[in-house]
Amino acid sequence: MTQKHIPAWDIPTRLFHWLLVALIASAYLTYEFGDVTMTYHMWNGYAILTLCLYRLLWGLIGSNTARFSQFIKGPGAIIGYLKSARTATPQKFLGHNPAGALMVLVLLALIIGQGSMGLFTTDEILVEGPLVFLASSDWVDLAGSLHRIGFWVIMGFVALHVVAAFFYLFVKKENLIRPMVTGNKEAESVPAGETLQPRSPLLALICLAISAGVVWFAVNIGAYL
Amino acid sequence: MKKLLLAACVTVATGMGISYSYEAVAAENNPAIVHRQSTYQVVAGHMGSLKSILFLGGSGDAAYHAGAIKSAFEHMGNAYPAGSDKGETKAKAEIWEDMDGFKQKGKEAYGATLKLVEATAGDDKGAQIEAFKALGGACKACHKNYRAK
Repeated sequence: MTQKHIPAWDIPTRLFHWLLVALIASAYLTYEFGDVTMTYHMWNGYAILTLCLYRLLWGLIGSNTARFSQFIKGPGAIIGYLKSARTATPQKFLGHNPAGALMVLVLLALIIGQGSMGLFTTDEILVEGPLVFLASSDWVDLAGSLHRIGFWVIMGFVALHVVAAFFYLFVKKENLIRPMVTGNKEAESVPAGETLQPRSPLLALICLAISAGVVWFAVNIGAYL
Repeated sequence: MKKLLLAACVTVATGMGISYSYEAVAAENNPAIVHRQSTYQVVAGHMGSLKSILFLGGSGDAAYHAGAIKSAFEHMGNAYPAGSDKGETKAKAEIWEDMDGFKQKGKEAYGATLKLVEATAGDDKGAQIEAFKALGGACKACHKNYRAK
């Protein structure tokens, strides 16, 4: 029996992706238009850190297409894939292709870095990140600069990520966006015999709870020092 | 080879440390810069105390801190004379290029301070918080254009 649609992305990974999109948008909005106390911007940041830490855990013990060990490839594989992508018979992948995997890593690292720097950022008026008290004023200056510049760096990679998705859609006629919503890929764009091996969403919830706990502890570390 | 590498690292790190601390030693001595930065620090200190009283449940006299901010602003004097753009300062060149716009921001901050003084004379904590946030917003509006990050 041949299936037309092959499950590729589990629900936790899809939710992660779109929640992160929404939270990055609201991080900007709460900064630009929010209250001068930045309360919502800071909560927004804790949420993003929680979500990204969860993704790291899910990358270790999650479903097959979410696991780093399944999709992270070396430079040779990335170049090999990009070369094949220009031919009529590109290499197929159930989950991330090697170039997309690199984008996943870069964005995750940048966003975790951005959130972490935010913990050390102050407006030097009335808002202080929860960890400002730990660092010298030189380091706080540096963290603040990185936090401000980081936004533009992340926007650059997000733009590249979106342009790549539309390039696949309109030029290569492969819709990568819909599977990130529905979870299913077209059978012809997936290697024969491969399919999603989902892990329990309950496990994902446990990962999320652990991540939230870690972020909560980091934010409140002053109470334990 | 490893030892050589280690020695090189230590040398570079020490060099960075020395030059870094040297920079700190060569502190600013332009009187205008020293005076305005010190007075802004006084303002920042009282803002911190108000933050404690209004948001963190700290005890203290909000009216005293509001009055002290007003007093500090009134004693700024000629804080940005020509030539005080050079040195250990985050004051941007825009201040001297657009002195009228800059002074307008200063007036707005002072106006917000007067409202804070007024609010802290009463018992309405909500009004005090709003006035405090408005002053914070006025500080921010000026920093945005005239203070380097």
